[in-house]
Amino acid sequence: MQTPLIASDPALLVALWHESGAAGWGLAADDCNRILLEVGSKCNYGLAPDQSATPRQQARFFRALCLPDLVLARACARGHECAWQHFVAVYRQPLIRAAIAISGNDSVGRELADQLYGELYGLTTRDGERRCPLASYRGRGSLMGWLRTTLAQRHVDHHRRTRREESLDEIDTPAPDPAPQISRHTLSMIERATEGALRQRDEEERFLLAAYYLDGQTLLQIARTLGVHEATVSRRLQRAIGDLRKQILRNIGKSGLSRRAAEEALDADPRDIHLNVKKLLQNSQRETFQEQANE
Amino acid sequence: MKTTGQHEFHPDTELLNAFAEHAAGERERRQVLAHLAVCGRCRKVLALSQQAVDGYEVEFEAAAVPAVAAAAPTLTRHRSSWWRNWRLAWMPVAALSVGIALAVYVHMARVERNAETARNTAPELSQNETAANSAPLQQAQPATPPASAPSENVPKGLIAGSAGQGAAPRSVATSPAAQAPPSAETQTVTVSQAQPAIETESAQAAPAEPQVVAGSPAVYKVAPPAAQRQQAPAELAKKSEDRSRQVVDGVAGGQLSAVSVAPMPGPQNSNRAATPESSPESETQSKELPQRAGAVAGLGALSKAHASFGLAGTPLRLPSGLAVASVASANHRILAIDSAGSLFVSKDSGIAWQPVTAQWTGRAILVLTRTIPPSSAVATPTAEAPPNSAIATPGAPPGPFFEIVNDKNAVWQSTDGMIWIAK
Repeated sequence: MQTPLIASDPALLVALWHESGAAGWGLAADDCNRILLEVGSKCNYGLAPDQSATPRQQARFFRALCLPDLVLARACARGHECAWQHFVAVYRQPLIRAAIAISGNDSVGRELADQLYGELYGLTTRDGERRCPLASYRGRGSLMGWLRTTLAQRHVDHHRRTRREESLDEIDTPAPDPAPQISRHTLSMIERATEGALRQRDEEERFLLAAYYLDGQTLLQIARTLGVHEATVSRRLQRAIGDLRKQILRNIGKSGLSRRAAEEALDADPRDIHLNVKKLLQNSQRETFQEQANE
Repeated sequence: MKTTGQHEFHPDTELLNAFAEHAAGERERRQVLAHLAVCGRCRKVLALSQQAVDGYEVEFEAAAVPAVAAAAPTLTRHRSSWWRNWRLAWMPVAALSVGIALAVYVHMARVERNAETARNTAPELSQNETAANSAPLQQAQPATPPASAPSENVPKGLIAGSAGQGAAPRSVATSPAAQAPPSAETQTVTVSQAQPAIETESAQAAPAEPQVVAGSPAVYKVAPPAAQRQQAPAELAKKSEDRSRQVVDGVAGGQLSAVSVAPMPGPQNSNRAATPESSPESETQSKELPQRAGAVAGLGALSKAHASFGLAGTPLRLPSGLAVASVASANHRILAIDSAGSLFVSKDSGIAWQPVTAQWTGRAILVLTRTIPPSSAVATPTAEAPPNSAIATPGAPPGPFFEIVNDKNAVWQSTDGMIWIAK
């Protein structure tokens, strides 16, 4: 969806051009205008895909962007020397420190930072064209945050690739599970009830459960991710657990068990329940971004 | 949106960063959150990114704060005084402090006032302790002033009769039922028996001027007869003595009819007798006093006289078996007149009574105690000395003596109560 640029408000364009400092990186007003058009059309000005932004919504979207970082990144992507000098002076050392903090290792961190720095400089080419990751930066957040996120993505992807290359000899074979204490029918009933209860949780509760129980994140880490106090995270987590248990009991009751029998069934050894919670959580709602990717 | 090499779909870096920095819109935030719920990889990315932020910020702050503080001191926040942080809270605090201080002050003042009252009332209570047994007397004088300071709490008309009482004979008018035993002190208890002579004198007297005092019986000032006003001042002064300034209460039937104040002896009362303002009233009232049935009784002396008898609450029992009409005490003797006019004397506080031969005419109705002023000491007859020798002696020491008034208003005097001479 292409939305015409805010030609009706040239004063805003001029103001944004001055505020961004694009002139310092050799970007003319028309260049800045095109960058803004590209960013706005890519994000549809923060609206749903089927909505069309009004000039006021467009102005609000542009005001929310990190314009100085955006024009700096685009100037670097275009190869402006002064922009690169400024980028190196400002972001080089923070980039290395962030990489070290993410990897937890100095050498690994420096290697990770150098690798990303090379990509940013445009050492890689595709179809004979120099590609710079900074060109994908759209100014929704800070440039430093974008760089950290990029480093984290690369580190996680690298870690996942290397784990898959581990030898099976290094993995201990788990001991065989003992015989279950309750019937197979009851266990399958619990599995279905749990699966249904997890699917009925909203996205925030599922994120809380996954981040806390699957990833082992602390309340503080989750709180910083969500932008709330850790006490709020704790309270929401407790409420999510309580609601999940009630929902599981209700689902078991719908299967024909009494309330007391359902509670006794929940006291079963979790090792007897062949339920992959991680898989359950990850199987849901993957379609959202898949559909958007297919567009 | 981008795909990874594992054909997984994730939010791009831009959206994840916007989510991490809370710059994404609500719709995008919910999308990312829904993805994070099912994507461990993106949760890990966000967690590591946040970890890098923490490490970077700590390191950055450690390096930047000193430089910033040195370069831009104005950026440092000025520490304000501790009381500035109170802001508007000082007003209720100040009000509370004032209230507490006021409460403490009031409490301390009350405690001090109570302590002072306790100190003042302690001796008074000890004096009035025995007087509490005399219910009629207490009813007759609900507002009894302290005996030690009658002039402060008693109206002027009530304390006027205390002038010149060196030995402080006190006259207490009471009902027959409330008669107290005699004591060694000089006291006079007069029972108002509605004597005919008094009634006539009251009729001859000028109209009484009521003086109503709050908490006390009605007080009447009786104007003296015109004939008595013309008596020589020296003679009047001689007759008045402690009778002066006595205030006679209104007569009500045969009950307690007159109450006057005979303050405690002391230099203060002696000095008061010499005050010029008391002399005219003392003259007139001294003439009336024997004529009135409701003779005098000191409020302040009431309780003390009652207590000094030592037989508080026990009525006097005369050999005649009649009721006591008048009682006076002085020189360790008690003189009592019964309703028939017979006089009896007791030297042992009313235990044994001796009849006195009538040496007067008519029927004795009143016995009084008088004191000879130092300037005009009069030798009164005694049992040891002949009656003729009871002439004024310039060198005779002043002392109390008795007077008897008959139904004809004639007066006889005696120092021992046995030998009487006409006045």
